[in-house]
Amino acid sequence: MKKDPDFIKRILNNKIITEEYFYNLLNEILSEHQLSIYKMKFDINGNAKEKTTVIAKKVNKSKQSIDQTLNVIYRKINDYCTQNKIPTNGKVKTKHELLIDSINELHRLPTFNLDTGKPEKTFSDGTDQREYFEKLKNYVYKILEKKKKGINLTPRNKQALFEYEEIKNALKQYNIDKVLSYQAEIYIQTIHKLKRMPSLKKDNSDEAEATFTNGVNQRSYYNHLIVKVNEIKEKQEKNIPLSPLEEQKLYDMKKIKEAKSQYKRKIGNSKKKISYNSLTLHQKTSELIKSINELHRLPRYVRLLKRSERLFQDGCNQTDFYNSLRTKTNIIKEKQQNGQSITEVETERLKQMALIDNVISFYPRKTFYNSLLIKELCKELNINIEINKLLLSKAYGEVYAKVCFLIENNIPISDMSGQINKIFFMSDINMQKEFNISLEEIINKYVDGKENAKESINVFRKLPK
Amino acid sequence: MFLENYLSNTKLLLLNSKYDKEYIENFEYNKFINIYNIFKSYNFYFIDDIIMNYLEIFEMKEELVIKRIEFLKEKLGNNFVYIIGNDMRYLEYIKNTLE
Repeated sequence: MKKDPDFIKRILNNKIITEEYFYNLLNEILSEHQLSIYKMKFDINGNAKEKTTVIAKKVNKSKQSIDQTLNVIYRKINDYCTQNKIPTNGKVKTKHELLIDSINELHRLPTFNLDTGKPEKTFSDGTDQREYFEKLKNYVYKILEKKKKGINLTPRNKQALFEYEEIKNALKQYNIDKVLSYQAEIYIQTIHKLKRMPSLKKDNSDEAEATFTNGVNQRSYYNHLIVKVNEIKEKQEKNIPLSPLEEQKLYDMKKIKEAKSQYKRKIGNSKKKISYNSLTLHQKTSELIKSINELHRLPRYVRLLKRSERLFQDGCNQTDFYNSLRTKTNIIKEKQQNGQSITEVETERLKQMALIDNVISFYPRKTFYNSLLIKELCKELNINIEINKLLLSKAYGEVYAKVCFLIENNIPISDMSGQINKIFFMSDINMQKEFNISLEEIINKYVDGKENAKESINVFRKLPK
Repeated sequence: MFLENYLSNTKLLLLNSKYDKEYIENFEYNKFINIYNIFKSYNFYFIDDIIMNYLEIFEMKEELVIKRIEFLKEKLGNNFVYIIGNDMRYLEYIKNTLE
């Protein structure tokens, strides 16, 4: 609020309050240093100016504390005027009192008009009343955290708490216990305006569909809120007490979800949505499976094209679809593990993912020939493949060379239970420690210098018996 | 192919015999190097063997790999790197269910 330096003088001149009362008031509410600063500011006592400047520099009080002090004075004067039925023409009202007036008029907090881009209620200096409330609220949250830590509150802190409580009490009269944050309120207004959530970008351009007055993308705010809310929920699960700011975020998210859900119901009932989703999911799955069958693997993201190498009919990336479905199914599986129930759509997603995985398993990334050779070798040596399935994931050349090494050194390839020797799954360095030979040496010795390990099938026939 | 810089000739040959040529050639370097650094940070002294046998791990999400390494560390104790080096089948746990 812009202070009126002549205000006190005018009150004194008009004899609204006596000079004696005014100085008593000052002595009551101000410390010696603050009194000096106050006198200096209004130049009530010219002689004191020089002295008080020195004191002010020493004390180094910020402008805020002077403003705060003034607020206290204004309120005290206001109380005095009210008690003595002295007309004040509303000039003595502090910002929080003006805001309370607006609340009493509107029966709610003033808001922001999305169409005009202007605040609903402003102070005389043109600043937004709701913005003032937001600042006060955030300041109070900080004070409450300070209080929790057992830090002593300053008079300014106490004043802010008092003002906030008064505003809250005014809101309680109209059954408004909890208040949305300013950003959440604007976001909800946008949802009502668009009848859906705003998108990140408008028509593929860089321009956001909806922004706050400071130019921040509204959808980005929502995405950021999701992340924060998830963190808060994790905290809640661990029974860590939440700060007022965190509780505010949870409340904001709850209200946004409520606003969102209204429009879902208007578009179509949930059952219709499930069938629509599952149909799309079916179509996409079958198109993806077609691509997998053509490529013998999943479509990849091609950096040069800046998109997947395969697109759906609607132009969407198949790779993105697969990744998103994979992430979603992982979350669903976690839900299942935690014993939570899953929806029809989620069950459908699991089914489709299993189908895709099944098709991918037909086209392993490992060469089929490699495992075929290992199978042949195992058959020849009576190695139980069922027990030693992991052997199939090794390179044939490596398996073959190690088999040769074991046979030559009379070391059993598998034990009584059919478990294969651990040399096959040892790292090179561990093998060197245990068997005094490196993988390089084994390969050079037994794969007979073949350039391609696949060709070692010929060497296979030389296997010592 | 950047994998040449991380494997000896013999191990590269074995890798080529095991995985599809196209799969190896299109392997994403950025993902690879991130996972490589994770293994390095845990003092895995046989990363070349891991590349050769479990190349799939190097295209997984970093957080998942860290989570699973941490699990193995908790299960096997402080000597977990040596234990895994002695039986690399433990790495199947990291590789299991991609993503």
